[in-house]
Amino acid sequence: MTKIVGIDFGTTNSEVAIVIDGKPHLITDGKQRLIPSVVGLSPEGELLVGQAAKNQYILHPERTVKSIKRKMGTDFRARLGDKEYSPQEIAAVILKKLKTMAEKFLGEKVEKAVITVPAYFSDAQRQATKDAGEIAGLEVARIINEPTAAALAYGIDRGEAHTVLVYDLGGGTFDVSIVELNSGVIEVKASHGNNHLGGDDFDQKIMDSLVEAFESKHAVNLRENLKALARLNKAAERAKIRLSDHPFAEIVEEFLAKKASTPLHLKQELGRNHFNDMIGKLIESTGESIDRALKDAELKPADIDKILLVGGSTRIPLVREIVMEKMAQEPHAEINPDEAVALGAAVQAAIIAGEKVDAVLVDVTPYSLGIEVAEFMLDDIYADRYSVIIPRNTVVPVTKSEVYYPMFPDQDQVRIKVYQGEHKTASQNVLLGEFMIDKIPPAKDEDDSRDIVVQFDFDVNGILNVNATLKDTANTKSLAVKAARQRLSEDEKQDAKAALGAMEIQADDEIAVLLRRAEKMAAALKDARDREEWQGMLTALKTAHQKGEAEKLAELREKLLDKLYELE
Amino acid sequence: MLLRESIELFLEQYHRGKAELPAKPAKLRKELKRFLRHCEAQSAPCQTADLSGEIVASYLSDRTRKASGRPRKSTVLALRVFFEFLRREKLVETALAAFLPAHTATKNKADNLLHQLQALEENLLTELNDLTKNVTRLGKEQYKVQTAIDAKQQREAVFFEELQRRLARYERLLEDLSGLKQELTRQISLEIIKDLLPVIDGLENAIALSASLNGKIPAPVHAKTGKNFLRRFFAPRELAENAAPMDVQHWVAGMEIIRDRLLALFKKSGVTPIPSLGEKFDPQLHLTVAGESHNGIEPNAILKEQLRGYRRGEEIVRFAEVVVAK
Repeated sequence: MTKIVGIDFGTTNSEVAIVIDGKPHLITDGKQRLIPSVVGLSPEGELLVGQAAKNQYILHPERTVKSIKRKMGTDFRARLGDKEYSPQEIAAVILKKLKTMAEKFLGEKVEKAVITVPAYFSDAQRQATKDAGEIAGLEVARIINEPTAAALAYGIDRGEAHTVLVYDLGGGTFDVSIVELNSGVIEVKASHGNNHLGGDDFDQKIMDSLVEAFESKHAVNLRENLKALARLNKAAERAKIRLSDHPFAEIVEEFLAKKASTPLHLKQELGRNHFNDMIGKLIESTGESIDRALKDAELKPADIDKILLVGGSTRIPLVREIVMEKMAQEPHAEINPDEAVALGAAVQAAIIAGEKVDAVLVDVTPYSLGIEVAEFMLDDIYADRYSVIIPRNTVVPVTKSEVYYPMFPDQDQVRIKVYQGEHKTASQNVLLGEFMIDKIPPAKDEDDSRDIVVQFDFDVNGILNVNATLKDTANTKSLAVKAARQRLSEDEKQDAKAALGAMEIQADDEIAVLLRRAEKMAAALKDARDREEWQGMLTALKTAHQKGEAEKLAELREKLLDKLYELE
Repeated sequence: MLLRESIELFLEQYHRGKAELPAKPAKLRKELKRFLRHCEAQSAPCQTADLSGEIVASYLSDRTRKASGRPRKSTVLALRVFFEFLRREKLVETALAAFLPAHTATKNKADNLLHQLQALEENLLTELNDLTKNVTRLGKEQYKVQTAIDAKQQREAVFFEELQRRLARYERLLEDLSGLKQELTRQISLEIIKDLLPVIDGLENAIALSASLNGKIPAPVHAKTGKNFLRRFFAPRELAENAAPMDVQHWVAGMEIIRDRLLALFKKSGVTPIPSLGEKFDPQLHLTVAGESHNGIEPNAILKEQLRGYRRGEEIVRFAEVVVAK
């Protein structure tokens, strides 16, 4: 049987996935999971795809094509050296690469694919994508919408009707779609977005602030310094990623530049609050897209059954916060947001091929984990509040940290009480453990907030390591507690199932054998009335067995045994 | 009167139809002659009056022996009719008198035997019945036991299958383990090297920058103002106070030694720098960050290396970032 793969053909990166034994898998090329959607022609005339093509982009922009997805369905001609190509042909080169990757991974030919496109794609754009697949030697089994694919990856097509909002914020594009799934019928009710908004913009914001800070401190303009900019760009991206799980990110770039004969270093701390201020406007604009999509679909936030976060940038906590605020419900992000669309395409492919598909299963924290805090609200102090550090349904293993402060200037110790649960009042949750961090020096001045960083490390074995550190000091205390963990691995589940099965047989083996024989006998009975009577007896026996009525069971068993003996 | 004469008289009467006879005449004659011979053999010549129950009984038993079995009914009847005749003709009394009780005794005995036989049969039937019941009970018992055995076997089969499955998995795991261990070691060493890359980059940057400082190195900028407590501890005080520029060559040489140490460490794990300066741009190894036009320099030649690249065999750990001639 020919395998059907699922392809997420993206603006910046593309991915290919397949369902194996009911489980969707992302196919990798060596260690590379994402293939840059870039095609180039090397000076030697060699066709380059992916990272290699991206590598030469700055040097040979006239022989390299980026972001061809934006041009699908147009008359645009892409130049590669002396020749011009249609967007379909360029896209085909990328799809062919994915096809080859899949074939190498599977060790067999791949001839069919499901390809995803944005919900807003016109018929012409869809047709062009389909053509590209065909040029690449792939029979396009179906073109599906990216938000639909995400919903499929989450297994939402099963069961009753669902209205799902898919919030997709990637590296360079953003869209929000409302999808209605009803017993196999899938409809995109509305879709809105911004073709030029994504993680790269957030990196740029951080970079700008770094350049400005550097200029104000050293009076050196880094904008001309290509090497420094390249370093800052990477540092900015690293900081952004770090801030998804930690309240602070330290940006260190030694020997970044020089002034006269003095080497200049960059060493700066970026707090999440500051980062949130930088990107706040951009993220808020995505909230407007949510409003417009809801309006177009004539729905209220409460009509949405599920919210899915897709795209790497949805890892940013502020994104989650704004979506939660708008929709008043918790969004889902259990499936790797970079992979959800490709995995969903693979699920669709498996459905077309008539294969069995299990939901994408991941280990998640079944409850939120956090600590007890006091909150100031309108000058009042509210004690026994619950501050969540790891929200529930977070994929494990996970490390997250948050910063807290002592309440009073002369407070020299802080009790950390670790809870598991969802209640806003800390004590209403399950207390997992507590410890004290002490010897906190008194505040030096009003600005000295004496930050205490509380870090939660939750591992796959359900062990939660809590660590509280007085920031920038060696004053640290930690505690390990056992928290609840959800979902077993496939192997574990298999074992458990087998063990259970064996045990069941052990308890009722005789009954089971008897029943099997009796059923065989019943099938052999010629007379309809006999058979009916026989079946009646079997049913009574089964009922007694299920209800655990021992006496009745023994009696019926004896009766059946006699009958069986007689007949055999 | 002789017995022979009595018999002939009887047969004559019989011929005249005076007596009702149970047997065919020829057979009767034959039987009676046989009886005569028997009697004469006892006491010759035999008188009718000599007939006694004893003689009759001995004849009957003799007859029984010879015919192997009980005397025929017809024989007995014939004798009985003959004796009736003798009594009617008043020829003899004794024989019949003896004969009839003897017969009754035999009959009683037979009845008794029959009775015993019936009792025996009854007993046997009861026993047979019990036996049948027992056999049925045992059969059912066996059936039950068989059912239990089947169940047990089935359970054993399940356990056995499970055991085999687990054994196979265990063996597979063991097999995988050695390969996995090797792969893991490789990966971990690569991860460590990746974490070390910023360190070696920093050194490279320091070396590159210092080399351009006209042979003099200034005092560290952060030594006095550093906020970080670690820095406060570790910054050498005298260096901070002694702000005079220092000869840089030896410092650079020292840093180069440190860098080479790190590189040697990398090499141990198979990680080597990607050559770039002076090489031709190769998109499989290098990432262009800029293109510069220069006269007299061949296009695609690498002019500058902004970030050193590393590889392990065919695997790229990090692309080299380079400036290339247009």
